[in-house]
Amino acid sequence: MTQRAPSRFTLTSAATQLVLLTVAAFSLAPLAMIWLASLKSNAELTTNPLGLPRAWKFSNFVDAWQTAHLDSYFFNSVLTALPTLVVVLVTAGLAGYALAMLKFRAREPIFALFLFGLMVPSVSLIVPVYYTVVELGLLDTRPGLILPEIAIALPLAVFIMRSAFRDLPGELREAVLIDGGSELDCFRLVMLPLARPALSTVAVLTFLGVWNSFLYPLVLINSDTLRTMPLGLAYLQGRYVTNIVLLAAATSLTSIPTILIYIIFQRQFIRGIVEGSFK
Amino acid sequence: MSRMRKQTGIAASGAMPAPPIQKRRMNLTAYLFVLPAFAIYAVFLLWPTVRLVVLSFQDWNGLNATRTWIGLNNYLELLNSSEFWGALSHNLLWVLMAAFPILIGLGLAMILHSLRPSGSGIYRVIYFLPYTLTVVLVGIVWKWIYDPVWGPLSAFFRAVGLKSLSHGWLGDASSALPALALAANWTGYGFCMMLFLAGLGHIDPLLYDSAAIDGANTWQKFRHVTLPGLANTLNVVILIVFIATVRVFDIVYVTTRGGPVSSTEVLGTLIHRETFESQDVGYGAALSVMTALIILLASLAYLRFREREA
Repeated sequence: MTQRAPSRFTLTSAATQLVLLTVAAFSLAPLAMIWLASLKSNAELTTNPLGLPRAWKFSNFVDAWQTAHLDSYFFNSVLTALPTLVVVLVTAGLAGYALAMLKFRAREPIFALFLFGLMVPSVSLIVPVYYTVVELGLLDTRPGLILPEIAIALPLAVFIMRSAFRDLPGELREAVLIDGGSELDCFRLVMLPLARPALSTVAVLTFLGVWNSFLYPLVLINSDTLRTMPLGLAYLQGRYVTNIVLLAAATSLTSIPTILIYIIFQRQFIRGIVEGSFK
Repeated sequence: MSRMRKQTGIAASGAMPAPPIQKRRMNLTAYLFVLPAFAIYAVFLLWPTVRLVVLSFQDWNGLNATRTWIGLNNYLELLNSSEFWGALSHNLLWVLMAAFPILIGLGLAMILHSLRPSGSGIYRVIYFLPYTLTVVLVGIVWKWIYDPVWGPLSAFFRAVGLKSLSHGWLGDASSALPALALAANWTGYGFCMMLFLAGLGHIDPLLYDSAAIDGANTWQKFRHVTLPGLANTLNVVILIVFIATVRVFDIVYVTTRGGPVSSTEVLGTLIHRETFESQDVGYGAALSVMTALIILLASLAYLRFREREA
C-alpha cells in the first residue's frame, strides 16, 4: 500500500479530499461559530446568527477577561496545574526509578497498589476524597485541590516512568555507583535525562488531566477567588444566561491555552496520548 | 529485562565489602525514593477508596457525628431503584453511540495511512484538536449550538425552512441523550483515529506485499491483513471508550444536569446529586462502588489486552 504513488488529480483523490475536508469542517465549525458569536453584540446575534459580524466587537473579550473574572480563573488554573505537574514529575520519577531499578521487599506490593489506582475512576472517588479533604481542614484551599489532583495522576505516571527505567541498562547504574556517585546522582544526572521521552509523556497526560479537571474543583472549591478555568466557565454559564456574547467570549478565551500548547507541542502531545493509552 | 535482573543479582552477591550494610542502605534509599509519591497517593487515593467501601455500608447525612451501620441496605435500595437502572441504561446507550467515533476514527486512520492524501498532517492535527479542549467548554459550546433561541443549529433550520427541527434538542426528553452523546463524540473520533494510526504503523508492510503477490484485492487485504493486525488496538480503543463513557460526568453536568425528567441522568451525575444535594452519603458511596466495579472489570480486561500488546 505504501508504494502507491500519490496521484493528485484522480477522481479517488478528489473524493478523498472531499471526505477529509467535510470532517475537518465538522471538527472546526463549533469552535469557529463560538469565536464568531463572541465578536458580535447580543442584538446582532439574534438578527445575524450565522454570518460574519457586521461590527467586530472585540470589547467582549476585554469584558470576559476583566468583568467576568476570567483573568483570575486563568491564574488559578496555572497555580493549580504547575505545582501538580512539578510534584507528579518529581515524585513519579523517583518512585518509578526505585520500582524499576532497586530491590526492596515491598516493591511488588507497592507497585500493585499503584496499579490498582489506575482502575479507580474519579467519579467514584469524589465522595470519600471530599470528606478526607474536609477533615484535613483543606476544603476550599489550593492545596486541598492540588493534592487530590496529584494523587489521581500518580498511578499512570508511576507506571509509565517504571516502564521507561526498566528499558534502561542496569550496568549504567552500577557504573555510576562504582565511580562513587550516590543513588540520587545516578537518578538525577544519568537516568532521568535518558528517560526524557517518558517524562514528556507524563507531562502531557498530567497537564491535560489537571488543566481540564472539573469534578474535583467543583466539589473541593467554593470561593470565586480560587476557581479554575473549567469551574469558572461553568459558573459564568449560570451567571450570564442572557448575555450570550460575553459567555461566548469567555468560552473562546478558555480554548486558547490548550490549543496553543497543543499546536506548539504537537508531536509530544500526540505521542503522549497514544502511549498513555497503550502503556 | 532478565538481563538486567541477572546483572543486579551479580552485583548484590559480588559486592564483597560489607554486603549487609550496603544492602540495607540501598533498601532505605529505595523506600525514600518511593515515599513522596506513595504518601500523597495513600492519603488522597488509597485511604479514600477504603473509606468509600466503609461509607457504602453506612447511613450518614454527611453532617451528623453518628453514622449507622446498615449492612447491605444501600446496595439493596440501589438495586431496587429505577434511578440506578435508568442511569446505567443511559450510560450503556451512550456506549452504543460511541460506535460512531470508533468507526469514523478507523475510517479516517485507514484513509490517512493507506491513501496518503496531501495535507494528511494538517488533517490529523485538526481532527485531534477537539479532544484537547476542556470538556466543560465542549458542553457549553454544544449547549449553545442546540439552543432553540440563540443557537446556530435552530437558526440554520429556520433559514432553510425546517422550522419543526429548530426546537431545543437538549430540552426535549426524547432527543436530549442522543444530542448530548453526539456532542461528546465530537471530541472522540480524532482520539480514536490517533490510536488506530499508531496501530496501523505497527503492521508490517511486507504483509501487504505478500498479500498482493497472492493476488488479494483491497477488501481481502483489509479483511486478512489490516483487521487482524488491528485487533488488539481495537480492543484497547473499545475499552478506553467504554471506561470513559461509564465515568462521564462533566459534559452532562454543564449542559442538562441529568434532565429533562432524568432523560440524561448518568451514574456520575446520580452520584453527585445523591451525595452533595440529597445528602445521602452512604447511598452515594454505594453508587460509587457499583460504578467503580463496572470500570474495574473493564480495566482488568483492558490490562490483559495491553500486556499482550507489550
